[in-house]
Amino acid sequence: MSQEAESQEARSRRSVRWAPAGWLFPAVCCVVLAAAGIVALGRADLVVFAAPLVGALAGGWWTAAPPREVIVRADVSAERVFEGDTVTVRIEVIVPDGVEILDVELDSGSAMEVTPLSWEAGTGTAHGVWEMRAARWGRADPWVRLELRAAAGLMVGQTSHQLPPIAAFPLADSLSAVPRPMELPDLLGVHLGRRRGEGVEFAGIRGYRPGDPLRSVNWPVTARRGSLYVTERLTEQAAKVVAVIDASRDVQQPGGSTLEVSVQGALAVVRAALRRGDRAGVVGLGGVVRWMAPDMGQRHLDRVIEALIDVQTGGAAPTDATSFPRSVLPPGAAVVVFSPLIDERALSALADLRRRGFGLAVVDVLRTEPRAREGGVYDPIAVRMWRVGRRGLFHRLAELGIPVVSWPPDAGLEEVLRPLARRPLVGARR
Amino acid sequence: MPCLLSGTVMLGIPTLLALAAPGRPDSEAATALGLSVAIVLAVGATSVVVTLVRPGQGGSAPLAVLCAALALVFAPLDAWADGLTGVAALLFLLSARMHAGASRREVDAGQWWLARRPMLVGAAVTTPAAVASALVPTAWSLPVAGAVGIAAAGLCALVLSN
Repeated sequence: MSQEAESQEARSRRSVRWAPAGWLFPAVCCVVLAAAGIVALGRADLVVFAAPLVGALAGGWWTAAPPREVIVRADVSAERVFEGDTVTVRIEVIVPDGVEILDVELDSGSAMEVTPLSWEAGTGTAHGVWEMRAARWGRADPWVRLELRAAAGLMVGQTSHQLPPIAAFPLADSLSAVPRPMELPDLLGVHLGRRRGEGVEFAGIRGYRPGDPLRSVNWPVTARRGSLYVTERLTEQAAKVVAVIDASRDVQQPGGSTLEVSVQGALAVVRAALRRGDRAGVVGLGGVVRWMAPDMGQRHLDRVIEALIDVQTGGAAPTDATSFPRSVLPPGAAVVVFSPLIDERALSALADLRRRGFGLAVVDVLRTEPRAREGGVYDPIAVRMWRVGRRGLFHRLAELGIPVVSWPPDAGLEEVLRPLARRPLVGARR
Repeated sequence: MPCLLSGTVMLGIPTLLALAAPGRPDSEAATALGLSVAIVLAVGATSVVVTLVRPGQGGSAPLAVLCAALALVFAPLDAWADGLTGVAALLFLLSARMHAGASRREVDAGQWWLARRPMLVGAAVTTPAAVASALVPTAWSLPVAGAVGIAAAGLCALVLSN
């Protein structure tokens, strides 16, 4: 046997924690009570009735030597899947003689939906097939939990076996238009900037200056005017787009929680920007978000996807914009924020980003609202006040020059972002 | 099937003992005793049926055994009958558990009983010893029980070793 096979065999051996069966204690109590009753009644002959039962208990206990280990082998069909994909898990359990497999449970947390497909238990071995569907993105750490019985049912044992972690990557809408900033950095790209230089788009004609390349000389104009003229062209520059995920709160709602929707939106924006040839990155407000500085290429997209599946609330990430380093949130970048807009700290961070001159667009991912309790007198009023407050918030952001669009459940992100992508996002003057 | 058979034997022996009890049937005490035995056996029979129909219910099988023990309290003394009822109760409890297991998944009956061999051997040692000790005078009960128990254990060892 090779060394790898040996280590795999060692990993599949699981130690079992054995304990007396739950019914044993009540049974012993009953026997003691029955013995006391027999003595009280003076009917010693009833001992004869109890003799087989006591003998069976003693015989079972006397020979109770359950094994310390069982073998659990698990095979997972895929360890990296996308949302909605299914993973097939095959489990084989091998137990020594005298051990009975009572129950096998596959626990994978809330990210995966587990469906048992088959289970065949034979003598000393059992095989089962489960199907796990990635209900949402994230990392799942599936466990197999086994319940065993030995010593003729006098002892029950439990053991567990960890399966390889499964990463479920988020799915994202396909976008054709992503907001871009007004100021474009000196990077070669696809956007027509305001700067004149190398490019194909006509910008104007001017007199020849020493150093101008010969190929830019406009010969028809030169012939008409009698002196050298050159054609000026607009440079084609790349934009930097940063998707910001507000992970300070996660509100459960139909069609995915606000954090799930935010992650899907951020991924869609990053993917579309990278496909266009721009630099794109991801940062988080609050929660646990691995920041990814704007970069380009398929490998960067893979890194972003890898980072996005670990996003969760409750972390120690800053909720103010001043903490973002320039490399992560470079000046002049277009910032697309996905937020439920319910955390005051996130709102002040948006205002701060705006003051620092970023071109901002906010996508409201909150698709639900507080519901009035049935029969509650003041609840409908409170809900109306909440709506008024929400409208006021949007108005406040609009006054700051931050456009806010809502992302309803029945609309695609393309439809939501199209109005924002028509013209560049203008930043505030610093 | 083993569950029903053992349950019938377990409740049938006290019933037969009660029916065959000597005494005046028209006396008030005999009527009350007969009524008590009838109630206890009826509850026991119901418990057996519940064990068969709803195998997942954990309390019905022990209740049936308890009813059999109570019926033996009311019935006249008979060591052989007590011993047989005890063996039937043990088989009933074990087969009820097998029945419950079989309701969840397929169970190989032969393997299942083989796994419980130590319990059956334990019962095979203690039951003859207890019956023998009940049949002899009190002064001889302990030595006889010991001797019969050792003999039964030896017999079991002989049978199992072959």
